[in-house]
Amino acid sequence: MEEANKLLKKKILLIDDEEDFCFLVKLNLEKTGKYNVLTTTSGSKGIILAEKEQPDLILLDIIMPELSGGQVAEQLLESPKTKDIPVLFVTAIASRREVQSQEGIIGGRQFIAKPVTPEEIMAKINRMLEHGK
Amino acid sequence: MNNLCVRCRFKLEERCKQRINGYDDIMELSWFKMENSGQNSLKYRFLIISSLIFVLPVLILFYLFYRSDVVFDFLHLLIFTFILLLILAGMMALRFIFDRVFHVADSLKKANESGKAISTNLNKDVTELDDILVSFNYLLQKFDKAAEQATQRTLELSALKDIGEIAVSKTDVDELLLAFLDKALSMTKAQKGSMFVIEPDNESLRLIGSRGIEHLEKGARIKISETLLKHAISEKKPLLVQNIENDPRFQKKNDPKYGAASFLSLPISMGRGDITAVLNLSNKKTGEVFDVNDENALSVMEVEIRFTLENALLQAKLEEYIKNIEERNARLEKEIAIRIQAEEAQQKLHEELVEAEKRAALGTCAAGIAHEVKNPLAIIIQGVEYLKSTAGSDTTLLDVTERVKRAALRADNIIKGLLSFTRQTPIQAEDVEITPLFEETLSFVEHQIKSKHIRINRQYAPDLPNVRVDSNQIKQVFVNLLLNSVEAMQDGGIITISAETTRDEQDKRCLQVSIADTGCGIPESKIEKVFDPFYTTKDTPGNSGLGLSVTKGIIDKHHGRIQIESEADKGTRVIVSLPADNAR
Repeated sequence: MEEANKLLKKKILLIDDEEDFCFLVKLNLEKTGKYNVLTTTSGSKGIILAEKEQPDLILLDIIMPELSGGQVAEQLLESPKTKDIPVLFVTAIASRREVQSQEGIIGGRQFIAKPVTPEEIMAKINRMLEHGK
Repeated sequence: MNNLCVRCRFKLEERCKQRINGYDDIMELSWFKMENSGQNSLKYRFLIISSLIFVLPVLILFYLFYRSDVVFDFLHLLIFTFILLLILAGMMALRFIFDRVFHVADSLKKANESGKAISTNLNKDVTELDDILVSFNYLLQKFDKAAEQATQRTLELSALKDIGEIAVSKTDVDELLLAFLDKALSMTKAQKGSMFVIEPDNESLRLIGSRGIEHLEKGARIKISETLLKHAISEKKPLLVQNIENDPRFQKKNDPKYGAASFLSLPISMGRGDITAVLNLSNKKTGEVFDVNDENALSVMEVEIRFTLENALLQAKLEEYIKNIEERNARLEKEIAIRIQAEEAQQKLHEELVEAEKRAALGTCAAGIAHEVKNPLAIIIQGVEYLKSTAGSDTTLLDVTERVKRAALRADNIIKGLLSFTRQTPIQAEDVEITPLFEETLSFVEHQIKSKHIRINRQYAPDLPNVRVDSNQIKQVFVNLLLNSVEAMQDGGIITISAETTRDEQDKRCLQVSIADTGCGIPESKIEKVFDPFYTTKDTPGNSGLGLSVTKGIIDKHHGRIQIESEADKGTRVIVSLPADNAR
């Protein structure tokens, strides 16, 4: 039963260097029972996890110390195993208004601006999963 | 004058002779009349004539009255008396004439008696008269000479007066010299004349004008050494030649082109005495030769001409100097204006650079701060949301989490304003009709407007031009301005939105939009600072002090202008001008 539930839940991979943010997003999303959230604070580890775990969607921070979100996204696209996994950028460098005015798409990529509420994250995730990439 | 004198003398002598002869004639006539008729016969004839004149008409009248049986009434008597009076008057007139005749006759008689003595006295008188006549002739000659000198002086004075007038009316040196030439011609009665100026090389003369000389053209040059004028120039004094063919200085055949053989040249000097021009006169009207009088008159003229020319030259120099100064002043003023303009432009550029640098530095700083702050804010929001979901019925916990969330969002709001202010977001320009844009903006703040009971007064001019702007950014401007107005009117009021076409300082077409409220206004001391970042006049929480800074930044990027007019407790008017000539 638990395995069945696990299969029904959407697997989300969150790559963000802010450990507390990862912890709290995981907590909020998993609390709904609809998501199974994997987290990592390292871009390179995130790529490995993505290849291994094949998440339904990746939440990706942009500004990170080791590998930036952009570089991680590039590598994910290059890998046949991960190239089809949708990526949602979660960023603190664009304002909410800017992201909203562009309807969440900047340069062909999906964005969500920090600070973001769990509801906003989930609404965006659901929309993306419904419409594919 | 000599002729006059001779004529006078002749007449005087004739008159004296007539006078003497007249006495003789009268005497002869008197003698004849006295001898043939006598005074008594005259009186006798007079009596006869008088009687006939008086008596005959009376007798005729009486006879007529008698024959016609006329009765004498008053009217007839009056007529009769009148006729008698007329006759008496005629008699008296006749008597007067005869008395005069008798008187003449008496005089002639007396003259006859003393005839010899008169003749002797008359001979003596004639001798005396002859002496007087000689003296008178001498006096006349003196007078003639004095009159001649006076005429000459008059001419000179007249010439000087004319020269003075010429000097006042003309300032050009060539014109002055020609005017002098004309004056000299009229004064000396010369028919031909020319005026030369000495060329700077001091070796040649240039003709500036001539009168009555056909073969000389204006501007013609002659060598000084080849002309007789060299004498006048070298000696620096007038050259008077009465007959060039007999003059031992020249002994030259006269050139008929210049008329008679007599001529007069006058060197004209200026300044330190250097000869600058030469005046030549020839061919006197009367056929006479030039004499010392002409030379003297011209010399007097020359002195006046010299002063006049010097004055003219000084005047010309002064005018040129003044003109130069004025031109230099104008150039300097222009240069100063250009320099001031350049300095102002440089100052503005400098200020803009400083502003841009400040903004860039602030932008870099703000972006870093924003990133660093937003992450903790994101954590706070996430944490608060989790706590809220687990709080259940714990209202205190719910209240705490709500307050924490609001604070986090406020912090996020500040960061957002800071980023908007510093970030150079490129303009995505498009042709926009301003009134629909405004109406859309009003719908964003409709809730706040209604909740504060604010009335909107629209004053849109017809035929407003489109503007080429980034509509999202301009919407942000209007939202900021409208929200400011709403916040300034806590107790309601009127917001007047107007739009019209105007022209800026460079006469370029602009669309001017103004938002005026009836709110609390801004104190005068604070108006200058309202565009400064982080400056706010509001004491309500959540105001970042970046609203008007962001607004100004957007308007600047659109090459527009924003101005604020405000009066405390009366209201504020914000005027936004956007270029309207660049819309397609």
